[in-house]
Amino acid sequence: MRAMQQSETQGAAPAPLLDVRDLRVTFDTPHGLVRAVGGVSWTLSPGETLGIIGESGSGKSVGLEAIMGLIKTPPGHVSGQVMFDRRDVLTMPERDRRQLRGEKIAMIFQDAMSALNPSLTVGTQIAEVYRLRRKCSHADAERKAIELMDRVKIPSAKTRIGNYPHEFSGGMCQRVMIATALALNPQILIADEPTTALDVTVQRQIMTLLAELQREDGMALVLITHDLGLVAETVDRAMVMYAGRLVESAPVSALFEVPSHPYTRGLIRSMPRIDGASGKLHAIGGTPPAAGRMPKGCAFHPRCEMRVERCGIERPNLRPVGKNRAAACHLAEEIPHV
Amino acid sequence: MSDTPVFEVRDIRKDYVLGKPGLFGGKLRTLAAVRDVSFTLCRGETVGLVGESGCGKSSLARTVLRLNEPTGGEVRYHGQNILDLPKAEMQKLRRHIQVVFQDPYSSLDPRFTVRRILSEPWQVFPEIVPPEKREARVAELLSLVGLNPSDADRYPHQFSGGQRQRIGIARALALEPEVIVCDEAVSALDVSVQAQVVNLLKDLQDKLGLAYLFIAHDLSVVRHISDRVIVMYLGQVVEEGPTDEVFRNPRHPYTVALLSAVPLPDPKRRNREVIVLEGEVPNPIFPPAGCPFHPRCAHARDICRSTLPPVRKIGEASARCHFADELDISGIAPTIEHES
Repeated sequence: MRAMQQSETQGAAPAPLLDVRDLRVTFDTPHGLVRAVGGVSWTLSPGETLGIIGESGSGKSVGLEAIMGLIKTPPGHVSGQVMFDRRDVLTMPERDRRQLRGEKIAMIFQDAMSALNPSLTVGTQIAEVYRLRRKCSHADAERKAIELMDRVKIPSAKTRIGNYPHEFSGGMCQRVMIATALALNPQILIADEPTTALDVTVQRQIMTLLAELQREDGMALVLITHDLGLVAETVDRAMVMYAGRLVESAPVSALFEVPSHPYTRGLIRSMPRIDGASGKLHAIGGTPPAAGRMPKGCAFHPRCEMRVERCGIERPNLRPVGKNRAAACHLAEEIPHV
Repeated sequence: MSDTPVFEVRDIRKDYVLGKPGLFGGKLRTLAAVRDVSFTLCRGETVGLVGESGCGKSSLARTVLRLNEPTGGEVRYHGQNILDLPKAEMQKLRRHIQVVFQDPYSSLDPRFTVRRILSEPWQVFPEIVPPEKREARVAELLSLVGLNPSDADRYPHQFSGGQRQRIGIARALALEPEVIVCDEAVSALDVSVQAQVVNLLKDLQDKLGLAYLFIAHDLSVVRHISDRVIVMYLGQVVEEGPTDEVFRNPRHPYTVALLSAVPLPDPKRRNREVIVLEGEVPNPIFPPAGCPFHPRCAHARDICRSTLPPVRKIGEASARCHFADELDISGIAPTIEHES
């Protein structure tokens, strides 16, 4: 990972593992067509940890769900290209896609408790992956399930394999979900708010575990979160989404030091800090636009402190601003430090 | 900030009795959700209450509001023990102690307009605002929380989460309370909106002299808004003191672990030393003997396994740890002053 980060900063980026081009997701609703993700492009390198930051409704989850094929169509429409291993994931037959899911790309979710089947033991649910995908015998699959539970540090795996999800705490359920996701050694793990429902000490345990597993397996991790602290501590590169579009992408240290988008800067400044003084927070005024009612020009301009006339007329495209960075702001070069 | 306590909680206790005795009798099990918690709220003061799921912070909130009847202890409002009050008297007193809940989606009636939501409390307490002034008062309340007076005719679903939380706050303010219990009031909000609501709560406090009991699991928000902070673990207060003191110089190993676990939005410090607590919070039905934190504590010694530590006072703060004044652990907490 280190080596990769370096090669990236030297400009010789390795071939991307995942190449997302102009991904768009819209939904038919009773109120007309609603755009959830509007033309997002990004790449993921092998072994990289990528953070996707955004608030509710920014499209951060929907985009990844579309890549995984979890959007029901209709009412959803997904367009664009998602290249993995020289094939477009979005157009491949459902059979191949199922093969890809779990085998190459796995996903874990926020609410582990409800993502697991309450009527099956956790052992069955982990072992199922091996029985269905690897055609393992029951005994073999169970043995592997225990190994995996050990690996995600579920204590006394041998006895707990017969427990049901309700007998596990939220943190332990998340470990079970991580185990099922890692069962087939995927190259990419997508983690959608994996610790949001967990207490902070448990979050620390889970993030430590994910980092360890990633180091051992060398898989790439896409972390979707609203928590800037988590991003600062975990990822190599971060992308910020607002109103369905990418507004900034940068190596994480650069992003926190000199953001290139007023929204990123606003987010960082509005966050209460545990190592900060009390006093007023620098809140961003207003609220994000509703999906059906996008403002003209830059979607952020009604809330932006730096807006100029042009911002209300012309939508800024994502453009390179310095090394390995891109931002969608007319004034990207003029954003002050945090 | 004056020093006359508006709200005083003394040794409050809440036990839940679990299940029924078996066929052959047998002992009833009890779960001690809140164990002898005390604190004082003065006018214009915010006491933050932090802890993880199951530590008893919400039980405490419900108990001091008398939404649950406590098993023991006292809750005094201006010196009067409200736990002795008959139901009708208690009803009258409720206007002074209001609550703002976490979920702005389920705490507002979807069939009511904002006007009706805000004026409904006045049907119970008609003397607060005479009928002819209600229209104007609704508009006033809406501007007070940063909404538009013309929003009065809209329904909750027409508002965003942050705006709904503002409506919830306006409703709490309708009865002109002195104390507001904020139970995870900003937890469901996005960062940029959360900051607005935190600022609003602070402004209202300055303007109206409100006292807040601010319950949250997010330590950063608590640090920001509280004058004093209480840390709970398994129903007990493990540490308490002025916010700056507790965050800069935590004495209890649990507080240190809790602070250390919070991710810092500063990539330069990602390689700092952090404490990863082993295991999980024990089942509160069978709390460990001695100090409830000892099974997870890196500093536990024999005495911790057998004897519940007394509360040790250290300056203005106090911690329930046998070694509170000996352990040199505070350096691990990520509380180096950040210029802001």
